[in-house]
Amino acid sequence: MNGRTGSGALDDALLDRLREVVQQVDPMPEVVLASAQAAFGLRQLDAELAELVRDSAEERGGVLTVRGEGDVRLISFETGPITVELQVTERGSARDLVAQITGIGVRRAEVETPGLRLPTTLEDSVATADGVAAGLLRLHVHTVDGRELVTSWVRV
Amino acid sequence: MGSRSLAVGYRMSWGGTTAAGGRMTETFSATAALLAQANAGDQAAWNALVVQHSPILWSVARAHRLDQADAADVVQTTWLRLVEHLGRIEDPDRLIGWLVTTTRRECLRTLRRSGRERLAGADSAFDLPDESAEPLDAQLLADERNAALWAAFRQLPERCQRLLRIAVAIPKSYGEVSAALDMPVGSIGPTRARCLSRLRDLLDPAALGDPGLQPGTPDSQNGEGRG
Repeated sequence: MNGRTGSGALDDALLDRLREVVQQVDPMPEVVLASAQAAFGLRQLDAELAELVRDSAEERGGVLTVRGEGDVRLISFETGPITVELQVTERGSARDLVAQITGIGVRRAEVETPGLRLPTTLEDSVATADGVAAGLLRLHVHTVDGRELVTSWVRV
Repeated sequence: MGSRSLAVGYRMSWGGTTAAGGRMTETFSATAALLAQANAGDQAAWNALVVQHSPILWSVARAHRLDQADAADVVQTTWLRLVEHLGRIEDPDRLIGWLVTTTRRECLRTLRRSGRERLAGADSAFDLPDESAEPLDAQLLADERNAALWAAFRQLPERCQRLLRIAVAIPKSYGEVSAALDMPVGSIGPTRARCLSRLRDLLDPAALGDPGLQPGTPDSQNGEGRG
């Protein structure tokens, strides 16, 4: 119906030139492709996904500054009756993590980044890991009945 | 709740976008095939999806005024979200819309976390020229006419810069532009025309150079509102 005549054709020509300019000025860095392709290797086919349901950092006044400590952020994940409450304390570029896992018995839990897998200290159903580098991470939980659970990725 | 809200947001963004259908069917089917192969574990298919769609996601992130590092993080996060949901994409033919919607959401999340949400989200900010972004990279542009075009583009209101940046990355589907901007699909075309008109007004006629870019018909200058 629109034959791309008149101003429509002019608009298309201007957009074409703008596209060329944007590609020169702001090309996508190669590392973007590399990390996106590497993301596929982080697939956890056998693990159940606990999805992000709440992040205090996205709520007004949701980040608490505790005296003597840094900012504290609370992030919640859920799948069915299982919940993971992750508390993240900022210390410069390091993060101290405390994860309370409820609804399932926990045998072991790890912190995963796109490049690393770090152990946590488990006490009852609370997993802690101090001094984790800021960036993308998720929690990988091995349950007592042999199930695997991962949280959504979050950037902390 | 997470996956449900994702799916709902996705559907809402796509409400009334059938106008974009038809033409894109072949591309979509190819995308759906790659998605199925990736879901079966094929890294090469995954890589093809990444190569095909990342530039669009990069544009969406940059259009939300994220710096290069944040934009790279957001695009990476979007792909990780797809890995998480690989077997659960409800409508593979509309993967691009899902990716674009997810990227937009991650952009807003990043902006919110860094306290810039109001700056980027408030309507009032849309009408101000974008002065806080990085300086003009005109040196990169050997062609003077392109440098002039970029300089003019940077003087556009943020809303226009955002829309045009996404429009050049997704030229064929207002549906995806709509998802990227959370704008009604019906207003994309008129807004795009208005922004291009403002861009043309900002350009020195000599900088347009190519006669094909100069308005040649009287009606092309009508109804362009504020300049």
